[in-house]
Amino acid sequence: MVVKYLFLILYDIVDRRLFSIDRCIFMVEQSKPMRPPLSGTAKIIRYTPWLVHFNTGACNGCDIEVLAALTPLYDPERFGIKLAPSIRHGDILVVTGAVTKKAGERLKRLYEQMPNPKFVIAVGACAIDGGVFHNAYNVLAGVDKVIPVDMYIPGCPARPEAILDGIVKLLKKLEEL
Amino acid sequence: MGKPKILKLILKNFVSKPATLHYPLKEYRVIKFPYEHTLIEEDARGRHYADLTKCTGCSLCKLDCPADAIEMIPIPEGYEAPKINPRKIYPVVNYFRCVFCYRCVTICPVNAYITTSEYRLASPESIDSSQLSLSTLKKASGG
Amino acid sequence: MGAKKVIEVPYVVELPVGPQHPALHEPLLLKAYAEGEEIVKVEINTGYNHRGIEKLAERNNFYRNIFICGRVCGICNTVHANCYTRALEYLLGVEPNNRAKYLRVVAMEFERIHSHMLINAIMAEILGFDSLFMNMMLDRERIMKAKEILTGNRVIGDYMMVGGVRRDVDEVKRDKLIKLLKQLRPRVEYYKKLFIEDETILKRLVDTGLLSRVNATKYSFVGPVARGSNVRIDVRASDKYDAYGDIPWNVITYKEGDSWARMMVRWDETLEAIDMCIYALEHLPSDGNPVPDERRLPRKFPEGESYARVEAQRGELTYYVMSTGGVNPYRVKIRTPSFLNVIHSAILYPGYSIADLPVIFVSLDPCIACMERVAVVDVDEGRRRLVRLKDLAKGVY
Repeated sequence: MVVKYLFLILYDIVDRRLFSIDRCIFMVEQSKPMRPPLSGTAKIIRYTPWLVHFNTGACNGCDIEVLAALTPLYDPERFGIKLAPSIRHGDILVVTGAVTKKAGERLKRLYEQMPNPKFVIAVGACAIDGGVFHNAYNVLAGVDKVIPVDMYIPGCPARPEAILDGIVKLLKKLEEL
Repeated sequence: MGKPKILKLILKNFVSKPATLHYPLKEYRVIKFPYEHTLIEEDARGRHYADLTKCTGCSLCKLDCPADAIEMIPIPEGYEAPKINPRKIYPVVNYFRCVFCYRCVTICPVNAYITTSEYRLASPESIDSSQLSLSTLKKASGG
Repeated sequence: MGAKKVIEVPYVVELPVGPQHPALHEPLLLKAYAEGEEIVKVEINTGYNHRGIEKLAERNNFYRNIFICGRVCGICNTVHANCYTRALEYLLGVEPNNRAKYLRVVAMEFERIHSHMLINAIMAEILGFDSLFMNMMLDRERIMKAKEILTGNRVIGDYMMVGGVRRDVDEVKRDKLIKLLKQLRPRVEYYKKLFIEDETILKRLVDTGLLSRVNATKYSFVGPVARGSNVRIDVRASDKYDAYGDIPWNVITYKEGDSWARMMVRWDETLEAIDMCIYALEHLPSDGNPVPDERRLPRKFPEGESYARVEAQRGELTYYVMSTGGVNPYRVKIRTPSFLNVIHSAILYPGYSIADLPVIFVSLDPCIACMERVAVVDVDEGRRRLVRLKDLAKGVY
């Protein structure tokens, strides 16, 4: 009985004093998920990949360029690309933004919820390496510290033509599997 | 139920030429389609690299880069360094961290940066400007 | 014995509109408590976007901060850079020449046009009106091309520097810009007429999220949200910085106070901005070079503090810069308009159904990337605590 009360008090202290941000680092640094092995049938995705977009603490510049890449002037529907309504339907995860500690936990959870075969594209200087914010205290600089990445698209922000160019290069790489 | 006022616009778009720029269709499929390159301005900010015949190795570009994307690396053997560069170092831009603000271009005291408008830089491995900068130098004779 | 009274206890369902959502472009956790179809309470949980910019600004020198502060928010980056640069100019006692002032106004008004067209297109997308969304984004590409001709990049301009701007405009570019603006104007008038007359839009936007004039001043809303409720505040008219005193323009207000009035304020401001840009480009003064030589600017700043404010697309944005002699600033404080608008917005939701939640949220034009900086320093014990916005927002409703 005493032990149970001691445990509750200890949990209460830990829950209030230890900031939830530090608990997030603990969970994120525990284990980086491995890249899943690709079988030969994975290349059927190259005819119509569906994108899921996640913003992990960006300035919104790369997000409006990803949104503009879905509009009629650049028309990704020629390649069969569309924005998927939920993460369980997605093939390619497009990540923007310098990964903050609170959003990094959500990103890892999202990656584990995606079904195989899955690919990750990091768009913008902040997602690749931290960009301008690589020294800040709340930022784990770079998406590849949390999940494995397949293609990087630099630029601040990356033009919609460059985003389409990066997706096409990834799909071409799949043809050689 | 009324018809939407946008019906006239939809019919007009239906019969006119498509508004899409067919980039990068030609490289991806084998169909011979007349594709247009997107009309980018010539002085849009794209890939830039240092011209080593003018660089003096003063490191001002490294000190003032807001993203810390420039490193000073010693010029390797096999290239002859110009006399104005006593320390024999040259700047290498890491394009993955560069934000293309061109602070390095405007602060250089001898205007040693060459600017282009190339933006197709997607790649799975890290890219930097060392090969482009070294191609402006002549190789050392003998050896 | 039959039952005499039947007491119904409604149960409340919590709906998280989570950080990853195909409709949201920013990470934000909106917990809506709904009883049946009607919303009872909304809790806003932010903190996913906090990058620690004010602390980062203390480690870099004054000129690197111009580029860092320009990346606080990508949609309003020119106004952030302009406010910081003007705070530095008040500290140094430097004033740019008239041509630089006109060019700065042109860059900021371009940004206003593109941001207002973007939020209206997102409103059409949320209503389900996809063809209107696609058509508006196609016309918005003209203004992005104009921004690329003027500043060199489509979204993040990096155009401001202490003492002027970083690029000049010659005759060929000026004619191209005026031609693009004149092609854009009839399209914007067509979309404004569509928002006034189309039945789909009217049925969903009119009378949702009513904000009365009393509440708008009591909870200090700023920007088009306040101007849609008949409160006439605008920093460009009060301060007349940077050449807004020379160019003729009007302040727009609407008196209805619902989501429709807020979107109409934005369309009228777009038309005003196009006219302002055409006037400024036709009457550009030619008194010297607007580009200062960046190599001769002073590295060490004198001691002092300065304060500047600017009218961003969402409201009033203020910067405070303090320096103690030296190369780095001692403190930079940013107060953004979305900070006020989004926190106090919990009063607008109750009483409406779940389908009205995204309409009200988008009509406030939230920019979560701008608003994430809350830090509480406990002076007695010297500890630093980060306060979640949820705890602050609970006190309001």
